[in-house]
Amino acid sequence: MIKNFKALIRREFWEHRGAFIKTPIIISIVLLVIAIIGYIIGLVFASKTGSTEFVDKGINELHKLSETQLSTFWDVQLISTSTLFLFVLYIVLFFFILGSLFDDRKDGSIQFWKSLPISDSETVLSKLITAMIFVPLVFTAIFVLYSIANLVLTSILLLFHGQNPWSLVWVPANIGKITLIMLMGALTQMLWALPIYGWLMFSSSWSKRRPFLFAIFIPLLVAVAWYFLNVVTRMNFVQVDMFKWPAKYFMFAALPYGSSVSNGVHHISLGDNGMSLNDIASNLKASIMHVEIIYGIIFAAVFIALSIWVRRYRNTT
Amino acid sequence: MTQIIKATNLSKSYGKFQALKNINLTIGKGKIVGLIGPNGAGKTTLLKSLLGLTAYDGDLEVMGISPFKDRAKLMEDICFIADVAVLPDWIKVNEVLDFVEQTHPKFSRTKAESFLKKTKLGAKQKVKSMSKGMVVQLHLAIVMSIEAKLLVLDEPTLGLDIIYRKDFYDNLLNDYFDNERTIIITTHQVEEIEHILTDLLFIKDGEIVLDANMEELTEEYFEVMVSSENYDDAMSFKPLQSRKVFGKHVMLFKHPNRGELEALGEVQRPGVADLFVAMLKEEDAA
Repeated sequence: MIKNFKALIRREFWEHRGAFIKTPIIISIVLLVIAIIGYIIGLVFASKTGSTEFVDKGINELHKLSETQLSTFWDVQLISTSTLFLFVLYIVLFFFILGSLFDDRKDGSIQFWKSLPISDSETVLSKLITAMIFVPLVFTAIFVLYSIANLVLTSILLLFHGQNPWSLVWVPANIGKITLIMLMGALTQMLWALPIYGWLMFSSSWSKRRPFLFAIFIPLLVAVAWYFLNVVTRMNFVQVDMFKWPAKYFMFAALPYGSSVSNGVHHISLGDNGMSLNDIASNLKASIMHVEIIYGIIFAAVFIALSIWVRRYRNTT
Repeated sequence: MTQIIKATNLSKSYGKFQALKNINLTIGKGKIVGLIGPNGAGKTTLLKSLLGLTAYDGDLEVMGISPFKDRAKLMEDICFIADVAVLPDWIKVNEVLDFVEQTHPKFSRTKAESFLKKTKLGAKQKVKSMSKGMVVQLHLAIVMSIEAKLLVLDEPTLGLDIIYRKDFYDNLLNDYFDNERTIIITTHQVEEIEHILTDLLFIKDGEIVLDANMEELTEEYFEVMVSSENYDDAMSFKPLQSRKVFGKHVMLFKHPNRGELEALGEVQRPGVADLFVAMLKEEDAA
């Protein structure tokens, strides 16, 4: 049983090596390259114009900031990159799940997978667990490595300019805490996204040709039907609330750090009086206490059970 | 257990269409059974039922297991190759070996690797970069390394070059088959497999129209090369089929007495394909 799960999860990583591992690595590399290019542009600009404003703001005047300002500076940097990582993770998982029970039917390899002594529940659940736990862990690990690389890079640049990287980088930037927050963010994202994952998985198993269209259009049809039902029965033409509710799951899954804001408005303002890492951590804690998450889990459980059923009894060729 | 498959009143309907009609069937251990039938006769439905991929009415036991209820368990003792191109594109040789090794308790990796050594396949090679023939070699190497009691082959050589087709069955017979194992094969290329079969099942419109072993068949059915002067005599024996080849009439008879037929001309064992066509006509006439 456990052995099967291990093999099935490894299998997902073989198939989706590009999306699960290469994507976060490429993002990291691009971010680091952008930082280096930014630095070089600053230097060129300084040598051409004689004005050192760029380099000064970025590097030479860093030591003028207070300790709190410095840690806020790093908090903002790390939080925004981790937001980017989580957002990309969400998109990667969206498409992974959408294809998870469809791709092997499209290329016929389902016949091979089904010829092995593995139950369909194991197959479906292994894909879900991959999306819920293992891919987020990989993204977190690569994010942490990126953050360290970023700090190292900044330290080297500071050394070029005779600054002290220890007090400017390594004391104020809190890698341990940001790792924890990234993990909490991934957890929060997963909990909010669960009903979406469940629906996508069902679309993936049910759809004969276009799981994407199925996954998008069925909910739209339901929404339109619901809208007109309300128009006809209650003469209610303006129903913004209707869209608020599903939008909440989408928004909080996409941007988990903002998800304690219950009306769906997202803002992360960091600064002396803004949110600190601690605020974000408590936001995340509050976010996973929402009762909507329980509804989401129930919704997901129903559709995942249906996916297993479809995979078992309908997807046979 | 000598009976591998036992079906009693096995039926399956898709809406109003009856794909299988009260099939009764037993297949013993150590047989190589050819399941032959025209398109839409119910071959695939029958195989799917055996493999636990579809629900059915009636009773069906495969090695004592009810296939639909206990599919995952059954797969420990059954191997099947449905179509050759079913290995996923992205997988590498060593990955697919790893995967089967971890999930199949009866798989021997050493065996698979020794089969693969005879091919040009490298451990890091992806299925995407293989020709269809190479994919078959890989799939067959895996299947032959599983200690399964029943092997189900559904059109295993479809779309293969003739050279691989021949190798496929040769390997199967020489390296895999022994009297402990049972193989069920469906194919359109009957000529390719008739020399290896021990039993024949003809299926038509969801019914088994012939269930016989090859020896019985050769005792009852004869193909006779009748020269023109014996034509009228031969016709009085009511041949199932007659065609003209090089001025002679090749006729197919169902007849208990070989001696009487030998008087008409040279007697041969009929080909399964001819037999099949003749039997279908006989059915239609009846």
